[in-house]
Amino acid sequence: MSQPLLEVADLRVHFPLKKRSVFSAPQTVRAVDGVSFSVRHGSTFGIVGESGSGKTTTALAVMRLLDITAGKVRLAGEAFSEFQGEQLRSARHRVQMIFQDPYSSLNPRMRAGAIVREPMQRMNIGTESERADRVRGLFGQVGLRPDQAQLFPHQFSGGQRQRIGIARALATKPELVVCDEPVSALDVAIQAQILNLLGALQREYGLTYLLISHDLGVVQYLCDEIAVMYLGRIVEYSTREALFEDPLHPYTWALLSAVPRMGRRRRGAPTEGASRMRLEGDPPSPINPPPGCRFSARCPFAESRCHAEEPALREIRTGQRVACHLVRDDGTAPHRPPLL
Amino acid sequence: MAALLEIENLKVEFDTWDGRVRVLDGVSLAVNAGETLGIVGESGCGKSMTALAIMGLVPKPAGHVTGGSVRFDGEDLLKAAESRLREVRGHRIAMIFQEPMTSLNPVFTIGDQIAETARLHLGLTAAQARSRTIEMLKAVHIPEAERRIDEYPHQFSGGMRQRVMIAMALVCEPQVLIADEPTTALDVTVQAQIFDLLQELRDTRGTAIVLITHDMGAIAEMADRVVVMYAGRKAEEGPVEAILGQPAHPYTRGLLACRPQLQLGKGAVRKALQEIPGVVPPLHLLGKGCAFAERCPHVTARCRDERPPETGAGTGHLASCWLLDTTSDAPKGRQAA
Repeated sequence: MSQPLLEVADLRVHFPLKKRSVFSAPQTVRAVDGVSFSVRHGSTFGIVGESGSGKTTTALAVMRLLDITAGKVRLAGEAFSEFQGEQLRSARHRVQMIFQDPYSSLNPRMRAGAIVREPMQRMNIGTESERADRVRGLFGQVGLRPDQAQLFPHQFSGGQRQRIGIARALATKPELVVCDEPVSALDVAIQAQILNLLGALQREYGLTYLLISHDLGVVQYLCDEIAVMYLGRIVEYSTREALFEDPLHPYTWALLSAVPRMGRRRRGAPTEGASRMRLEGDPPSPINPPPGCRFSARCPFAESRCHAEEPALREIRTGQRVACHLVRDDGTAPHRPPLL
Repeated sequence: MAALLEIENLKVEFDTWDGRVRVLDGVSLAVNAGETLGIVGESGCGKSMTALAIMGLVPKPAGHVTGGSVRFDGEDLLKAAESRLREVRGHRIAMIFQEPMTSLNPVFTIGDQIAETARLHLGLTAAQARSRTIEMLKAVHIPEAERRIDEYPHQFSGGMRQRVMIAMALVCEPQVLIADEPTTALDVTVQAQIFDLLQELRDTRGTAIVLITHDMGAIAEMADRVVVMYAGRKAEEGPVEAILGQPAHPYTRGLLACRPQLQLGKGAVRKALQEIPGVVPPLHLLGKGCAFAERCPHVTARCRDERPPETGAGTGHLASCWLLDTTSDAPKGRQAA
């Protein structure tokens, strides 16, 4: 078994809140609170969850764009989270990011070619002519014409802008590419173009992706392994096949059953409604989260133990881990609704 | 029987730097009481403009309604005076918007904002309007309505704000509710709650719902009938089963195939996504033929030269495409070689 490209161990990112008065107790937002996972070379690892679950914070901490409160991030065996100063700067080319919004993530005053060239210049990669060649090559790889390098971002459509963002992320030949909701800001018909491009680039260049998304269809399409996050913690961690075939955590059931799907009509037989699992309310705040299981406040099956004791992430079967008291060791659980 | 809301051959034009462009070109559709009509398409295809035209809210002075009719309960709203429109808007036909964050006024309590509508249209006293507001907040399942009525929009989460918007839209018991991408800004679990709520309102009050969305999954769950729009024109229309099961127009088939669909249970397979190449063309560059011709995988010379008529009959399934089998009743997608 080869070494994974990215190993994250017990990652914590906490943000202190401004005190309301000098007498009030200090409060902390525990945005990410003890998250561990590893990503194999050439695979895609997905993190899903609602807004506020800590998925983007995890990604930014992995990229060293946020201060890590505790925990370790290892990149190809090296202690990336310990890197400081020049060592960190010179390692930054190894992790790059594709952003959600192709409208705000490109400098409107730079030409497309300069945008793609900039990371190489910042990190002193190659000579001037090598960079120019690489920009031309990248434009071809992401499906743009090399002569379009002379244009400004506003002259491109949303999908083309996202292609520029992808070319920029690949410019430094990164080992890990973090994709933060890469298609959610794009028009439906354009999403397929970008998803197919991401898949083709991965096959061709053996890229490793860390994909952040709230869209379970996209996650199923791209990912090999998936972590489901809720309030700063991983509640289920599983291979793609296992997660969509036999999800274990009640939160995962709820997420999956909330997605509108073809072939399931909402009106009509009441039995259809019974198979749906509905969550009440919104996710609670990650400021001083409840004791016990963080999902217990919204979980329809919560027992007294769930409110008192925090469940650990434990392996139920090969490739599938869950943090839930209600799931038995053989993977069965009481009250589980059938998934349709 | 005439439909509750009936749009016929609606044409809307806009003055732009590139000259006058037609953003809605002969759109016809109808909604009956207790029915959900889904309007689906990419951005810029005229979904929201259709909604604004129904409400008499086409932006002026750039926009002009140049033809067609919008008949609501037998009355042509395009010919109605502004004062009459003001009576209809918010009272008989109400609308909820995509952004619950920006559609509420931050300096008034949500109670004031809902009560304003009730007092204006129903002539209620302040006290009556307040109790009516509390009733509506309960109807949209906002907990502790008596307390939360005096809170401001920033004290509500996104899902709760959308519920407030729905409560505001429903306070006068409108006959038609237009929902323009009501859940795009919300989490998937909250989206499911809002869909449940819309469904409940339709079933208990018989409200006709026009649901505008780009998500075929939402259409599958919510709509009874579907209109697929492209570049300001209607590409296809029909019962939801027909649109999802036997889509006739290449654009509809493209929309259905281009999104990864969540598959549950055993035997999920990863199929390559089919792309719709290119983007929606700028409206001033539309040729005289079919608007979709430039992106259509089955395009023929005729598609570029002549605009296809709407074909199909009897079943209410209609499509505008030259490649359809026009001899049968229902349109069928002919497999082009």
